[in-house]
Amino acid sequence: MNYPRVDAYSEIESVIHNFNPRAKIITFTALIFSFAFIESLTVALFAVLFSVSLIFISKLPIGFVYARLKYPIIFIFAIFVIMCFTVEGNIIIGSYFVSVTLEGLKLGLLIFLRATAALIIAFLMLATNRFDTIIKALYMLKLPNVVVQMIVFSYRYIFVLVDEFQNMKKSMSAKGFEIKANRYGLSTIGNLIGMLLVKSYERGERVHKSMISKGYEGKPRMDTNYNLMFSDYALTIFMIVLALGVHIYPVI
Amino acid sequence: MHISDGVLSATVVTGGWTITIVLAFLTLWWRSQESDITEEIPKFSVMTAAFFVASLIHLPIGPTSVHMIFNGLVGIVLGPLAYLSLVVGLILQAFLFQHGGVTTIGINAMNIGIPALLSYYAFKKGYDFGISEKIMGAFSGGAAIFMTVILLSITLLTTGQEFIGVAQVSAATHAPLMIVEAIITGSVVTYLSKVKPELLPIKIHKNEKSMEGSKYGTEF
Amino acid sequence: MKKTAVSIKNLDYTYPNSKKVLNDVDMEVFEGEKITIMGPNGAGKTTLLLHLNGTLKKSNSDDVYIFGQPISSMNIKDRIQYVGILFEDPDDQLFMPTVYDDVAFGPYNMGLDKKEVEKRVKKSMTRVGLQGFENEVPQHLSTGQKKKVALAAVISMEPKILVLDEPTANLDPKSKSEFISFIRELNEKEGITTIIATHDVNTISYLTDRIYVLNEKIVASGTPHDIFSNPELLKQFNLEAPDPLKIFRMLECFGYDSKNHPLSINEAAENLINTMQENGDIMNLQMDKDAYENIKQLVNLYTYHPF
Ligand SMILES: Nc1ncnc2c1ncn2[C@@H]1O[C@H](COP(=O)(O)OP(=O)(O)OP(=O)(O)O)[C@@H](O)[C@H]1O
Ligand SMILES: [Mg+2]
Repeated sequence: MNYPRVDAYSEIESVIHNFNPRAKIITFTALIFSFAFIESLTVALFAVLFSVSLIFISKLPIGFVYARLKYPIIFIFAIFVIMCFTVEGNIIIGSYFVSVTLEGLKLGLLIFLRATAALIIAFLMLATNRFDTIIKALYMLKLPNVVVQMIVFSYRYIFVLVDEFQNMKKSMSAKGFEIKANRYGLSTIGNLIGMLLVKSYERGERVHKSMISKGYEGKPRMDTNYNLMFSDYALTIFMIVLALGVHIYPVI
Repeated sequence: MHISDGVLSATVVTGGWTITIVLAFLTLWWRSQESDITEEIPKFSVMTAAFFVASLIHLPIGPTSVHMIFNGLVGIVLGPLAYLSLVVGLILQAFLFQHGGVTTIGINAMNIGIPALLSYYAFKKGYDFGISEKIMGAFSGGAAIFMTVILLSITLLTTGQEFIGVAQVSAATHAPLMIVEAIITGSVVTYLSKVKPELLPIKIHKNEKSMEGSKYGTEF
Repeated sequence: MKKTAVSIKNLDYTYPNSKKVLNDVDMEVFEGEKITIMGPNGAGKTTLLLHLNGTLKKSNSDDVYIFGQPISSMNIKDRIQYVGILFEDPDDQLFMPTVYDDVAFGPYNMGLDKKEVEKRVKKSMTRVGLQGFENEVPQHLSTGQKKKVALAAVISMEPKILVLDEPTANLDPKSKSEFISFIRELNEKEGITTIIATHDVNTISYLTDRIYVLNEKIVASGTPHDIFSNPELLKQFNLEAPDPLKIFRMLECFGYDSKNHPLSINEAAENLINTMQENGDIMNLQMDKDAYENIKQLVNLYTYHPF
């Protein structure tokens, strides 16, 4: 089955893989927020170079990185192209109807660079540990209990429901149905989704029963023992300084 | 379409997070007044997973393919909890597919979550008024996307006038989605009203027919 | 005198907006017994099982007693300590991020400390033969493995009564027999009372001292031999007898003297050997004039395929 597997290569050994997950979430999130709001083109370029070099340090297979990042980057690139043509300002290339402006090019490029940098950092944060580790780190970071549980259980049941949905689709296509954007196609998709919702609702009831049969009272406990090491502190400080630095540097 | 990291200004992003955190807690609190939240958690989570899986459907339209949002449908089925469901969905989408950005989870949740809540009320009011669930479903499904486009454009233009082009293009790409989601939502709602009316915010008229319907449904 | 493990008195149950599912059900299970509940689809077996640890309960009446105590008066921790339920679909029960978390879920809810929980997880995983799987995520396990983990997650609470809903469904033959011998072992070595709902008649004899036939109410009860030698009862409630029994009844039409009717292949082998030894190591079968008619009657009586 085609499961969403961002953590397919989480077992590799690298500095980033070995970075304590809780520290990784905090520092990488700080980096994402920092990179997303960089104001200068040169700093943004530096951020991209930095995150690309992290990819190499992480030793993730390049084919995997490419496959995971291709569509998000195409999407960001589309924004860049639109900006080039639609922002008003000094025309650098162009004729009567379509023209590229300097302002558009600059702003578009800035957005493209900082978006790419943030995207790569987010990807690395998730690709270098198993997803359950991330979830447990969120739990340890004291996100509201209800929200963590909802993420935990929703994530778990995506896998079950992808299978269920694929099976329903298969049995539909065995009866000659194809997904098409016409009225008949859409209303069949509607039935398919309706079925999925009904089954999921019933499954939710069963899951709830099985939880209470094991004493669930709203606050499950998860075991986590990730100890912080010296290298974790060092990396944390480095990342945080960098996250702040990209905003302080242009001011100096 | 969700806004990626790096596009919006810090102010807009902060505003998005603030509104989202407030609304998520408010809707959760609201629901916990009427029902036992520990019972809701497992059901809600499985439903959120179901909507997540449904939104993975890619539909070929012309040369490209669009993927669904279904915020209207989420609203109709989950009521006030739809907001939190969409937040969780966005978090999972950002985490599992790097789709839509991390810093922008707050603002994206607002852009799809508010229309979801409004769709819920529209559906309920319309249905109580006597309009058929199919029509109300289609209306709410389409209107949710329409409102999302409006909010998306406001978000972009608040960041800067330079984003007018991006806003126009995204509005244009959402137009077919609006029609598609209206039709699908209408047909999902019709299906649910026959097979499992408990899932809709409507008064249930229990009769023999709907019992038969449920048997048929699971064997389909 | 054995202690009563479960006693159910006049249990009624109706799901919200549906018809009555359980009607005046009475049941008494003794400590260390192996009980099987049979009945057609929709008979209410799963519903009944859900009452055994209070997963489904009514607040206003005492109809389920566990070791003499009304279940409605027990707190959650006691309830799950006495009765563990294994549900049919393991995906409904493995809801935590890793196998370890799932198996530790019950023990933590019982209020045990981390050390004790760790010990129990390890022990339960070893018992089901999946030691070393603690760090796996449930979505990467096969159905058989999921089922075993789900069982580990129940026995980690060390319940005195183990309730299993269709434990052998969807398992391949080898996993099935592993599962069966595992449940037997729990019963024989640790005196755990087992209550099983199943349609799988060919495995019943391994796991059953007594059968209850349920169809909204208890319509019959008795030893497996009592129940399976009543073909009219079986037919009435969409049930069937184990294959060995049917074949030995057929052999009788040809003059085989079978004494009892085996319910499993193992019993059948024993039966054949004993009978042959008593008859000078020879088996005598012959077809007399009524044999054909008798066989035909037998098949029509015991199966749903007209002969
Ligand atoms: N959550 C529910 N809400 C309403 N009705 C239900 C619910 N669960 C079960 N029922 C109904 O109760 C009856 C008994 O169901 P139950 O699942 O207990 O039967 P069962 O004996 O376990 O059947 P099977 O052999 O198919 O597993 C059925 O008619 C079923 O439709
Ligand atoms: Mg059942």
